[in-house]
Amino acid sequence: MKHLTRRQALVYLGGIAAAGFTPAATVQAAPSQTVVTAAMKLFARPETRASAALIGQTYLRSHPCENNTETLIRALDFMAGYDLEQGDTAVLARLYAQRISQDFESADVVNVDGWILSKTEARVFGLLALQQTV
Amino acid sequence: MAGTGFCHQPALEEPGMFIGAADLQEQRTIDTDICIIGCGAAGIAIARSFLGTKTRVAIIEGGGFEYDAESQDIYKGSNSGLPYPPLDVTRLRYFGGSTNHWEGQVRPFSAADFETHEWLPNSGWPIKLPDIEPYYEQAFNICMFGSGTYQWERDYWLRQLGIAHFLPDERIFELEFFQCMRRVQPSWQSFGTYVRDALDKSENISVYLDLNVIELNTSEQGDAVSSVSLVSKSGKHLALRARTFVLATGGIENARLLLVSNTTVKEGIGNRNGLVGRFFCDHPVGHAGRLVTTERTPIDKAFAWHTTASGSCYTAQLSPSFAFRKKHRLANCCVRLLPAPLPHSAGSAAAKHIVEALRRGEWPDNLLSEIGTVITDLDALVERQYHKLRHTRPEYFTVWTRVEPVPNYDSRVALTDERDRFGKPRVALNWKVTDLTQHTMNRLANTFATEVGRLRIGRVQIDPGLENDWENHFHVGNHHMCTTRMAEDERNGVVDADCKVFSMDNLYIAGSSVFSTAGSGTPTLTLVALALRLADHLKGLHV
Repeated sequence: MKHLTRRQALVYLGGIAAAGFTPAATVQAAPSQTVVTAAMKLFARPETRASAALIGQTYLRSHPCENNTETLIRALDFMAGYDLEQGDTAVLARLYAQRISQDFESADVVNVDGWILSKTEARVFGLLALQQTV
Repeated sequence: MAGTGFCHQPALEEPGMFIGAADLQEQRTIDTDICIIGCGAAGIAIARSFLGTKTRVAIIEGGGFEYDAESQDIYKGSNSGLPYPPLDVTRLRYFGGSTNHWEGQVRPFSAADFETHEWLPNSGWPIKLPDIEPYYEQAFNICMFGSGTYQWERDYWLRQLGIAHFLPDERIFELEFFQCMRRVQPSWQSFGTYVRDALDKSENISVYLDLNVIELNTSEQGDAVSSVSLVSKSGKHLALRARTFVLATGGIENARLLLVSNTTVKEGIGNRNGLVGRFFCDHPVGHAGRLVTTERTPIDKAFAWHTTASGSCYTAQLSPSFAFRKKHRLANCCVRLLPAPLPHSAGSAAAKHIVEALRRGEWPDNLLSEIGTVITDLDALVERQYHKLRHTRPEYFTVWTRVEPVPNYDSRVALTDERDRFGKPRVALNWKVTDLTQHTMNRLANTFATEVGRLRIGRVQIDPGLENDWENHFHVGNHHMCTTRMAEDERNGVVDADCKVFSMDNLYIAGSSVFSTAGSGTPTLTLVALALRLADHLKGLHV
């Protein structure tokens, strides 16, 4: 648990650009498992990871054309520019939050069992679902 | 008022009192200047406007001061349309009318509510907001029993709440506030109680209780009402003559009384074009889904009820902006959030984890991932635990919506062959809504869900019933509207811009039956404002 002021918390979710960094490996070039491992960092607690995977299964059932790791990774371009191996998880979380906001802003959303989710978060959940079934 | 052919006769009773039917003689004829039929919000507002004037006003009320099952039975009817509450339940037949079960919420219509929109069939009023605006504040004071602040600016109410940052995208949603006198407030009183003393002390207004209108009698030409035939509960027959008649018995009964008044005008008064009873509508309301929040404070504040120093209450709603509705060709609509308690479950633990961390000024790791646990666990537990835990601090919100019913010619109030105890045909309702109404509610729910995500305040689950079982999914506001619509001409409506029935010299209609369209707000404030406007018009005729 990281202690943040309310203002810091808003900044955290707001995706204010952090200090620049040089990516060592891009999502497109990285091995699949590296991307999946990075995505799993977004879900530190096992129960949240399991929940996310459950949603992911539902998403993949209704989007069978995305039911493979490669397709999902290609679609998850919010990780582009992030150092998949050395990067700070907080930076990844910020990029994730930022992209989710963009999705909602542009109404790039998906209905999963009635829940209106960002396409990006649904795909990340899908990636975790595929990981669980491997 | 020219051409009615009445000569004035002295009233047989001294005006200025409540008169029960038992105190009236059989076959008596009452004479007055203005006869108001119906003692609900509209009728009372008009009568109140004549307090202290020289105009004699008689109000006819079918019931007494209290609910009476025998009187209420007159309101029974059938429904062959969409699910609707029984017609003797959705309205009340005693002094104060349906305000006796009114929740008291008020907000004026917007300018757009009066305009014609090419994507909304049968939209547009012959009057515009500036025509009614001067009456809204007075109507507000009546509806709020003198409490509250006549103020609708968003920023004013946000300042009251100390909210600075919960602002939706104004291109999509407008944050609006409405006010009410809630029944839970000690200062609450019924509408009838509020005006009863003033009417009782009046020297020019008589209120006749327990008198039932059998028919409006017209001149031979059928162009003016000459009298109304009345019967008491015990079967005593009377008549009332007046220079001007105002029908103010509610959106269903106004149509019924016009249709049953067919001795001279066979199709019913004002019904030459078959429009009386047409366009019946009510506000579809329903639970569109549920919201789980990650950022609760502004929502708690904005969507909770707040009490002012004067005892009035206010809360917020979100309405799609006019630009958004125009772009997506939607009817008017609004969404409110109703607190729902947090169930005990793994999902709730995750939600609590989020909320409690926020309260401590901490930020949970991977906040967005917690949402997953909440979502996956929510369905099975929320409803089961809701009532058990209703006294706990709410952690979820029900997404509640109300939609403007698009005017629909096929939705109507008509008469049946079945008759009430006085031999008057009962009402047959056939309520229908258009696809656009359903589409608007679905679009509203989805747009709100997306906006919630954009605002980073949580996620919304849309209720599957919205898509799969819409007709059985929504409820109604018990707002009976548009059955004697106001229009530019009688091909499109029943009353003109002054609320006068087309082709009738001296018959006016008050209440939400004259609404051309329903808007998405509650109707009472607007119907009272229209009644006050009508009262001003009548004052001009009775100088």
